[in-house]
Amino acid sequence: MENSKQSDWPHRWAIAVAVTIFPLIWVGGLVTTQDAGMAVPDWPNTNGYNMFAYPLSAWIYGPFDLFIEHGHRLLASFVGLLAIGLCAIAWLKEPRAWVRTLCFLLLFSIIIQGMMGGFRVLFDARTLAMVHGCIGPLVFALATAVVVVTSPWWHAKDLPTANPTWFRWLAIGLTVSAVTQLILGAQLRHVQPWTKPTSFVTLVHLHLTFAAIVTLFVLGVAAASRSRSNRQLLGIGWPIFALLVLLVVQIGLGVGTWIANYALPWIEVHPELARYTIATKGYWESWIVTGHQATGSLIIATALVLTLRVWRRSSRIEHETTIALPT
Amino acid sequence: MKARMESDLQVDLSAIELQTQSALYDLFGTPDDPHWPEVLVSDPRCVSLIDTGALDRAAGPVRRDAKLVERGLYRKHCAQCHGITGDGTGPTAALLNPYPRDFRRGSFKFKSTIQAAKPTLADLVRTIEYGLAGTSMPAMSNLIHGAHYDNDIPILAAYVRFLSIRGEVERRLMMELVPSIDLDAGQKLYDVQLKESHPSKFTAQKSKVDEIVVKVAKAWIEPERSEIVAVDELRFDVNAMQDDALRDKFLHSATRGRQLFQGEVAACSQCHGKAGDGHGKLVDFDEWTKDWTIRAGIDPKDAKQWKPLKKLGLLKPMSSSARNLQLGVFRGGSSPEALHRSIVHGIDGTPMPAAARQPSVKNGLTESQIWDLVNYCLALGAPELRKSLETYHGEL
Repeated sequence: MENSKQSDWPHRWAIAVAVTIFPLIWVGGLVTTQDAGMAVPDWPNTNGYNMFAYPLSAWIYGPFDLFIEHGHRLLASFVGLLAIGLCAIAWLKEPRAWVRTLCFLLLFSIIIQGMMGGFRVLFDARTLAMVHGCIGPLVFALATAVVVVTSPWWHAKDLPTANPTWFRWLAIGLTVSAVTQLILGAQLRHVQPWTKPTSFVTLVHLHLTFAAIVTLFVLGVAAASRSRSNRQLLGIGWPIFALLVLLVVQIGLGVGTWIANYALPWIEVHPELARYTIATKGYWESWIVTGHQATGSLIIATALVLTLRVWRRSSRIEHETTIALPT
Repeated sequence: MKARMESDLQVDLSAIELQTQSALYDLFGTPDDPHWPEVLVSDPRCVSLIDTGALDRAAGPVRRDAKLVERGLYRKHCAQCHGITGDGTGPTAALLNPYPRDFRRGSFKFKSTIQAAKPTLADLVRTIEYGLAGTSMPAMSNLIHGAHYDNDIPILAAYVRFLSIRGEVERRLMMELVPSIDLDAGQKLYDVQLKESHPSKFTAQKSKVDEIVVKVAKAWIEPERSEIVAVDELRFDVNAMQDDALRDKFLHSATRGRQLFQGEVAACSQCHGKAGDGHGKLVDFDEWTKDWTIRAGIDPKDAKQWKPLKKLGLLKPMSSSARNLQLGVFRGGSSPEALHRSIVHGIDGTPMPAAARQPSVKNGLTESQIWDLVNYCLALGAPELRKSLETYHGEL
């Protein structure tokens, strides 16, 4: 389908949705870090009030866990409204039916995710909180996918293509392993107090194993992008650079999370290390642990961007007709 | 939670555990809905222990009620490591060094009371508030900021005390009472069904159990405080050593302390090493490990012997390493008084023994000698003083 009047608005709205979901993931992560999931005992109301009518002073000056939990709800509602707007704009301006479907799928996933968060409160179910924590990054990834497929790059014609079969599968492998890694991390963060120590040890070992697998995949796609056949692919340089940076940051945050939660190794090396005392629900602890979880989401989203772009420029795939980039 | 435990009771637990757990549930309730045993509630001596408000706030799942009162504090801050019943086997336990404390033994390392006595509530508050440097025990001082957190730490401490009493009763029932019952003949330790059908039989059963409950709880009422015998001329502040005469006096005492440290009476160097760097020759285990290894005829150094028991949820035996005193980090407190207490009373549950002292031990340490040891430990922990001590040639 040829459409030379491709509107920029679906892309702009998609960016707005994705950019708003990321801080939502941060706040959601902070809710888990602070164990604030049950700071508000009811849903969809907040302490008996309509969520949107909850007194500002009670929210701002109340306990910190209530502040972030109620804030998480308000921000999530805002994301929902933006997603409705995206669907409306896609309905009016987006000519491709499958992209419109993708926008509605995004809205649907945001609604399901919101309900999951609500049911976690109504049933006081930590397992649902864990599922909620796993779905959040997937919703973010879906929003990122909408950004990619509505972007001018996606429509640009005459961009070089390649036949990078193994590159494509490496990118998919990276995305899948990053999602698996995030699910394992969510299990660790939502561990039940009666979970057996052996199960926790197994989870930690799996998390470390997948950290190595994700690292290998990132290095793999970086190496693949430099191969003769793939060097001509445009638009994959920055996702790969971002992945390499995020990987380094994520490994640092992972080590930091361990230190913030459990202890410093090698305390005998120096008296200052021996003096290190963990601070429960501390300021830095919250930033590091929540940052580790949020960076995991960012890795998934970036890996998905890379995957979509590599697949888009694969000469084996019959693309729909593209339009020229605006000059 | 309760359903899971009940299911465990029927499927996994042995007959002895089954008997013990049924008594515990009746006496102490469940982790979601705990209560104090009636026998303690009605005992006027136990008034200081019974804090139902603390149970209400600390137990159960993490949540805020409609009045914004936070509950489930123990599960929020402690259970991940110490376990939901305080048995020291929370999910993270196997990865920590040292392992989280198992409250059921009723032994606590860092306290202001005499050897083998229970800690005071203030001791538990201090450990919770400041944490333990170099371990996974966090400082929870963040919880005392803000109007909504004012009472969280004493509440956690009171709940730890409750769990410890509950756990010690559990241990004693299993070790002292249940073995005297003929389980094969259908005899029961504590049959709740008899409450209605045969009240007199139930009362007889309960009175034996209650005896143990009272015995355990009484130990927590005003435990005997450690009395520090002050020897003023030997009490120094290592941070205020500018005066040469004072410094000389300190080094003099510390040099005597070094001799004692390396000598046979105090014998500190056997575990802490001659240089106090923790590299002594003796390898020992703490009492929590010895309970299920050495005392059960199992060699904790022989993996073949202890490995099968891991299936029961026991953690790999970890040797109790002596502290490297050169780090200057003393978990029981770095003040001269705290060190004095650790030397005089030892550290409960660990291989660190109480010092042999005069007059009860003929060749034991005198009070002055204990202060000399305190000063040597302080010097070891302060690099500049440690260096001075190496070159100090003051006459003894």
